[in-house]
Amino acid sequence: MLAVHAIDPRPELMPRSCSDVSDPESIAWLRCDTVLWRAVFDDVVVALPDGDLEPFVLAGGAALWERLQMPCTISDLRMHLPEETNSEGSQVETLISLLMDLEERGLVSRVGAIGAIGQHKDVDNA
Amino acid sequence: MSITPESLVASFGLPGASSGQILPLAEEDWTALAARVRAERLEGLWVAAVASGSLPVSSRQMAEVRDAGRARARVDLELEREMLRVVAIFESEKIPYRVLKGPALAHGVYPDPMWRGFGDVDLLVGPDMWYRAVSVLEASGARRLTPEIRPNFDLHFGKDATLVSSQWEIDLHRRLVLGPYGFWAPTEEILSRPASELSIAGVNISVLALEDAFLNACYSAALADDPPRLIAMRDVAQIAFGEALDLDRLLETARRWSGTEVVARALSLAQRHLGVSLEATAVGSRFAGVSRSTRHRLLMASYRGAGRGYTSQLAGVVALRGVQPKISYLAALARPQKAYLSARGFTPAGFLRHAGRRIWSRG
Repeated sequence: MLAVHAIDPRPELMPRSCSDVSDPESIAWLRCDTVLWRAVFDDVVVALPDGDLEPFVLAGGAALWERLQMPCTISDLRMHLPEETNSEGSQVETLISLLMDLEERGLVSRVGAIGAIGQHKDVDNA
Repeated sequence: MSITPESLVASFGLPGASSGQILPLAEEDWTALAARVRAERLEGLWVAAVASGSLPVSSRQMAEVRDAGRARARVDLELEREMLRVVAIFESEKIPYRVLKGPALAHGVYPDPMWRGFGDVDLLVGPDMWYRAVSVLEASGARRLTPEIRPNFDLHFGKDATLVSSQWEIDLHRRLVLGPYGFWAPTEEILSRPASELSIAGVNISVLALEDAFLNACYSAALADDPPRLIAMRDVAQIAFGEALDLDRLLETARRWSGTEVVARALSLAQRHLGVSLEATAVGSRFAGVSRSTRHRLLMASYRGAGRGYTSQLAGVVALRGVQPKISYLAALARPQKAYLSARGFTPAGFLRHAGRRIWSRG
């Protein structure tokens, strides 16, 4: 069961509605390859190579992090994460809602429009 | 040798490793295991063993393993950040280096870097750049903990210098290991070979060629600590089972470094402590028939016991060529400079008494 409790340590990530994204179904998200990280059970501990931000735990975020190895739309995440995390939709939504804050911290980025999972070449060529 | 719970954790994921034979553990044994796992930096393998179901745990124990894994991950990531900082400095100053052990092995030979915890950042630099490397690190805010034993001792005879930056330790190596085996493994030769490259967080770092990394792992397992550390023996087994070594090159280098018996001992220790059959690997079978000479048996024994820091250094004299270097070396060991003694809290006489007691206690 996914346990999306807040991230530690401070400062906490801020869950946000996906409506903050202008067109959530056409935006693909990708984790940055400049991030240092480790998976610990279903958690992932992440750190930026420089800066003052201490490594922090994205509780229950390992499946999300794994998915973001390749560009993913929010639709992709909604489709796959419930099964991969054995979680209810609302908990998955909470996890997805962290994406924008992860982006602000330089941990994930948007890579452009994507039609569906498996069309990554289109993204690369965009 | 009976396999302990911490050995089961240390051997997790290796071919032929036992699993779950004496588990689940009673609370008292669990507490002892937790302490050993933390001391040996095996938390990542502990997490993996529990996640796989090989190590049955209660919900309370599960929470303890999770916390330990998170704590280990935080430390390792902080150390990787420190390593990337040092690498960036060395790159900008054009100082050739090789990252050793921890992060290099975690990302280079383990299936998951989480499996290989570490406690500091180890980098090897050559004699021509040694003082420059120390100087640029100090200029960047790092502080050397202990001055060299005598002026220019590092250059001619030193093994390493420990610097602290923020709360993280940087172990700058002049040689792979203390004592004779360190003198027999010339840093210039290691650095003259093309570096292997690893990408960590999008940054390319230089690491040892796999055969040199294996020899270094063997030196760590067989010589660096007494008793040997489980994680060092795991490194030996991890590379051996990877079956990616160029055996001819390895054997040739080990012979040139007078290290074949050290490799044989490291393989034997790893096999015994981890309960895996390394003789079945290509490298294990190649080194299985290495004969043990009295000379190397004695030299390797100098790395064991309470006074091993002193005895292995004294044994180093056999690897030095010429009378003058031997005299200079022994004189420096016997008469350290004031700054060194002061940093270690010794008077000259107190230092000799301490060394004598430690060496005597071996008996």
